[in-house]
Amino acid sequence: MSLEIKELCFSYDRRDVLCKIDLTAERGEIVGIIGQNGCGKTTLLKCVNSSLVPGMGSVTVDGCQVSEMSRREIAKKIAFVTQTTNVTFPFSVYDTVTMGRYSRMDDEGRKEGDDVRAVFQAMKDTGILKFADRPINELSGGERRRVMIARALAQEPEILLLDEPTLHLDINHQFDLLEMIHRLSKEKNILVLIVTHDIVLASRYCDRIVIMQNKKIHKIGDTIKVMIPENMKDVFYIETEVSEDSRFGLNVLLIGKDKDSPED
Amino acid sequence: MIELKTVEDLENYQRAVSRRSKSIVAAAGLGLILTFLVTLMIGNYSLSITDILSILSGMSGDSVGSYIIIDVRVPRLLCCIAVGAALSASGLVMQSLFKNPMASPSVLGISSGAAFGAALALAFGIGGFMGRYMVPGMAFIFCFLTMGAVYMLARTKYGVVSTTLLLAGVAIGAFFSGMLSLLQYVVNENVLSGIVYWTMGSFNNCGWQSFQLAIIPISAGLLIMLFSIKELNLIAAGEEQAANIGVNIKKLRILMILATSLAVGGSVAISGVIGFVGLIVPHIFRMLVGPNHALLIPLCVFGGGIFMIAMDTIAKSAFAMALPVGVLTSLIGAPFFIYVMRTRKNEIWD
Repeated sequence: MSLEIKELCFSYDRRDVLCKIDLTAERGEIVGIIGQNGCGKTTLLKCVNSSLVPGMGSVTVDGCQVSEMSRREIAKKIAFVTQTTNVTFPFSVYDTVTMGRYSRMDDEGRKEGDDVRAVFQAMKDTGILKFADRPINELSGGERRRVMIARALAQEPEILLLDEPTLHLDINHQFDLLEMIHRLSKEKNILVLIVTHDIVLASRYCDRIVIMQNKKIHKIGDTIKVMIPENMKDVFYIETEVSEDSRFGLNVLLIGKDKDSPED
Repeated sequence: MIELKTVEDLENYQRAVSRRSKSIVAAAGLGLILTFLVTLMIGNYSLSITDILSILSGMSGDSVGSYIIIDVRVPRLLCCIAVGAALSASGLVMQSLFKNPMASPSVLGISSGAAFGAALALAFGIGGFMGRYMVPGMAFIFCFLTMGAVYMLARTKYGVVSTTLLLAGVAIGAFFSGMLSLLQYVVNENVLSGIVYWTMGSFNNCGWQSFQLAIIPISAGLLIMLFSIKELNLIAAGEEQAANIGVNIKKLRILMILATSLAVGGSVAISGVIGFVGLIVPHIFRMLVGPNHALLIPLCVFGGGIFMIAMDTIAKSAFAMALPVGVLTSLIGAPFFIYVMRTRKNEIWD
């Protein structure tokens, strides 16, 4: 197993956020994590790369416990693109992507030019070569997001964690971005975990879906088996229609909220 | 806009950037040497550049001139360079560490802490176990304690909040100023004048001995900063992101607090509190060359030296009487502080 999460529990102070999460995933697949606000999606990602230390349970990558790895060792295996694309200082795009090489600085058997090659590849894969010398604060939200993903790819990770990657992007850029992530995951054999609110995009691009509810995994499985109207109604109180489009794949149509649903 | 098609293009781009950086740093270094030579000429005893060069090469028969250059002006200027470099680089590191444009040793009360430590040593001989390093040693210890306290007070679960940081700095600074006043009230007159000298900030008493005292802690602090350039860039890009990329944030913070304490402690020990240098110099260079520490740290070292020499020379010779340099930097620094607060805040810091 590339990633194995076992009986993971996490609480902020005394408030439980995650309770007995079990999840395994392999390189090359895209796993979408959906659920209502505050159900612990982002917390789960943070536990995976050890930004947060779980109260119980374990996270292992290739058989190694992340809690016993140094920040640098974790960064070689796991890259994390957070929600914020805020930048305090106007670093150039090239400088920003190069930062992703930090954890590889003293790799064994490292060769002259490895860094430039990895940075070039990451920038090429995300289509940002033309911005190399631009200060990052002058870019649009979508361009900035791609820079952050390029920096993550420069880490040459096995696992890529994306927290709301399509936030604040207009609809065509949302599709472009996920198309790109899909392609990269397959080409480079990377496991991608995506936390998202976008049910339409998640069902289109993810191989498997995790639905979270009440601190727990409510449903987990192949997208086509999980993204069914019953589950959508159970968790989000939303009426949906699901169909298969011959050109694009799985299509979830959001119709409206059930009037009898409980207020939350 | 550049067009990159191949890895070689990117390599060339990177080489061009690093060539440019090297020439900027070299220019600043050259500027520092020139400033040093030119300001050697300035003072009550007038000397030409040829006099100076012959004195420096040991060929001059002018014993008064030799004394003034070798034993008065050279050590004083070297102290200016060391202190200017230390304060500027420390200000830069603090701004990156706290992600706050207002952070600098004087604004965050750290210089006041160091001055109180130095005053304790002067007044009561506290810290006597450090021998001749008693005054810089006490300045360093208090620097470290103050910076740690300010940082702890400003920290919350969600990181360091700017407003809390400034408030903590102001509060701690005020506390140590108060303690310093108390100390001045109780000590005798001889000690008092020494302490007043510390609080105003001046290079008047700086000779070779001061330089020898300060150069070790200052060099150590600057070296630590130079070896942490990559980490500083990453932490400036965001703490959470830096941790995700592989930086051990806790270790870096402690290392940087240690480095700035060494540098500021060493400076305060010989020149007292010279305010705003750590605020002005990093801002000027960041506006000119961008946020990369690979450029900013060497520039702050050289540029800080130039700035300090210029300020000291103006303070001692431009007015009817010689002013303490700390008075001059505060007079210039306070308006600059307001300028930064009004204009830069919304552009790059948020």
